[in-house]
Amino acid sequence: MSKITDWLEDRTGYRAVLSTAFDERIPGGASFAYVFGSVLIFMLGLQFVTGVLLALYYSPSASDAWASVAYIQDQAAVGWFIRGLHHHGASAIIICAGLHMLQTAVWGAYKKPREVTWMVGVLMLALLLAFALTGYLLPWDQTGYWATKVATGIAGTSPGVGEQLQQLAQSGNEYGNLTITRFFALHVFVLPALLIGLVTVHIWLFRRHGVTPRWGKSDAALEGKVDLFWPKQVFRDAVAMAIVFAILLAVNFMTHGAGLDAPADPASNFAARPEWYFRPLFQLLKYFHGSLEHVVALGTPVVVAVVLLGLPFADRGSSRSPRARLKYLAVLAAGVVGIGMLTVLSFSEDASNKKYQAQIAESEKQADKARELAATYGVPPAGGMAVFTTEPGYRAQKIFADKCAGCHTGTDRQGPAIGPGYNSRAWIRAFLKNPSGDEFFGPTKIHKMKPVTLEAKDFDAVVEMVYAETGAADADAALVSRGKELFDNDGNCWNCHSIDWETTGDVGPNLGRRGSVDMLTEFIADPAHARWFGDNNAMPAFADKLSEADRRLLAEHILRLQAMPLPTTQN
Amino acid sequence: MMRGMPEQSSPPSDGGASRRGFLKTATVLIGGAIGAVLAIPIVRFVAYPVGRKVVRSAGEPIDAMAASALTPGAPPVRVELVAKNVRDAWTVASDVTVGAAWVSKTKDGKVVALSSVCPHLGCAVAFNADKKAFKCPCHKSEFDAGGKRLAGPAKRGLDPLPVEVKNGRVLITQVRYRTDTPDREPV
Repeated sequence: MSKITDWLEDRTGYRAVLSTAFDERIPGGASFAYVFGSVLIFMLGLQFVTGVLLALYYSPSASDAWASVAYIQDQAAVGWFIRGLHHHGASAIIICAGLHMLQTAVWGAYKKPREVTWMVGVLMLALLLAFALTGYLLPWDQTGYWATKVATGIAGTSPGVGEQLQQLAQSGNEYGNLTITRFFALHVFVLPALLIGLVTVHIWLFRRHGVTPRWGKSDAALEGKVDLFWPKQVFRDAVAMAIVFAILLAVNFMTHGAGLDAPADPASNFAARPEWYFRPLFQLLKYFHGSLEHVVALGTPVVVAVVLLGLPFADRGSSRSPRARLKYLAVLAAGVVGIGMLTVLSFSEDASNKKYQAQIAESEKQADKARELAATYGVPPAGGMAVFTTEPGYRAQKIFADKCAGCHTGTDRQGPAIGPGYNSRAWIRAFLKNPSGDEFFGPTKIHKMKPVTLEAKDFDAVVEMVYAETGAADADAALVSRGKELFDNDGNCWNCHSIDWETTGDVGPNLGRRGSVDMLTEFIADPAHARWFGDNNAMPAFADKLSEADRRLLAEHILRLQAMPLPTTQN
Repeated sequence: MMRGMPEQSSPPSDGGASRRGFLKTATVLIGGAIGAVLAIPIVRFVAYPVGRKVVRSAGEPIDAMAASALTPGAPPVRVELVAKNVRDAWTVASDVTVGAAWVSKTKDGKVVALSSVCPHLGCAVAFNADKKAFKCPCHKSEFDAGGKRLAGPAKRGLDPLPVEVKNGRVLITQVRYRTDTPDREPV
């Protein structure tokens, strides 16, 4: 073993590199106060790994993005776990970066000679937010789509070049393929490259100036207790990493990874909310209107950046003790409290907003449905929204809306109402009691049928018999045979109706197999057939307008309606 | 030594060697644990497509052409096989070209379909009417009009595809076989 390492040392000189990396002197000793930077490096590394893994499946196009993310989330092995780590990891990084900056500020570590280290850190915070902004859109789901629209809309309010800026941000006149390819390129190539560069500079500057020990310690006291980075500080760093990682895992398991909304629907009216760390700005904008809103939206980030970048130049005193720097710490504290309050306000307003909560519940239902359809049937090439067309019955519903709804739903009906509960026992009962009712033949020219008047028990039997003709599996055989007896005798149905499928030319329609899939498929083709309404018919024949397959789909749709409860207004 | 004088600078106060050893071991263990927790899901995630039909179409016969367009004994004609429904990872698409076949009718009226995939390494073969042979453009494998291997590196003849004639239409079932093996194993 030592032979190999000696050989490697001879050819590369790696021991000197390791020694530089690990034997850094830490005057004043190792401390848990110094772990934040290392934890951030670890978390960024985790983002790199999970990001590359997601790219193994993710497809950056307006038509594929949502479908590919749904595939990661619901189909690829542990895809939800990897995506969840990436999603929650981003939040963890924002929190760690905030703590890192707070520690630096309280320790006064931004002071001479570390001003540039601090400023590079502030730039990296801006990069992190840019990562968050670009990453939020990539799933191309409702939240990401609409929240990002707001963000690029804000860019559009910039003075002078607003429109050009917005078109640059969204890559053209509308959101589409170019928006997503460019957000993707920024998120996975440009921003990581910039971040790696800045992290390198940050660490290099940090090593140049060393750690900033707690204030109020003499040089001699610090020199009296010197630790080496390895292993005392690395151990503390590792413990902190393990704690953050354990929390991340727990959150990831508890939330089953990141959420995924229904695919982006440009036609919807979605209540967009940004990621939690943009909530303060989001909330702030609610208080300003008109041109002031634009000033605040664009100005607030600029003010925050100027304050942070200017901090080391304003706070120039020689003491790093917080007591000597109360003024500056008070400004930062006010900022932190303000951000915290705005965040809390934003979430509590949403929590008490019933309309918003209802919308969230509805959009969660949509998301569940879209994801279930995507997992079962796949997503058509037209894009995420097309996933809804894969639903069984979707085509039938569309045909019904196009061809049938005009006469069979709403107030301007020309025929009987067809909706949930149609041909159910309750519907048949209501119909037999009042065939010319508005819900039934009222709007038609068919008014010859008299209400059926039978004793309750006999009435039940006739209802059951008519119900059984639809092919219903749950019909009561004894009741049905009693119904048939009544049909042929005292019920006086036989005067006008047959129930054998074959007989034609009766006064009323043949009731054989009435409401079954086979009967409906044929009936829709030619309702004026002598077996059914003959000369009384006013419904168009669909034999040439709908294929047999489509008529069958429609018939199956009507049977699905039968299984639904009849709205109480019709009982 | 005078009182109040700073203590003399001491060497790094790392405690005993055993404490250093413990910290080193503990650090490596923590790092290893984090790595192990990540490694398992990463391997599963990356290997998910292995052995899985990520791209699939219902293996039903595909309506390729009219049977009447075939003349007994004439050279084979090339038809594209268009599947009604193809699932490709997250996408489901209709009418997707999934391959091609060379179809001919023997003198005794039997319809034969040969996969256009060269059984050597998967290039697409073409029929040369002058030589009355299939040639692969990649590695020069040659097959006679019936698909029998004539020359080149291919280890077997062209792959016949299941074919039936129904209501005057030629229905072909698309099958992919492993390439570069002497026997036909569907993939």
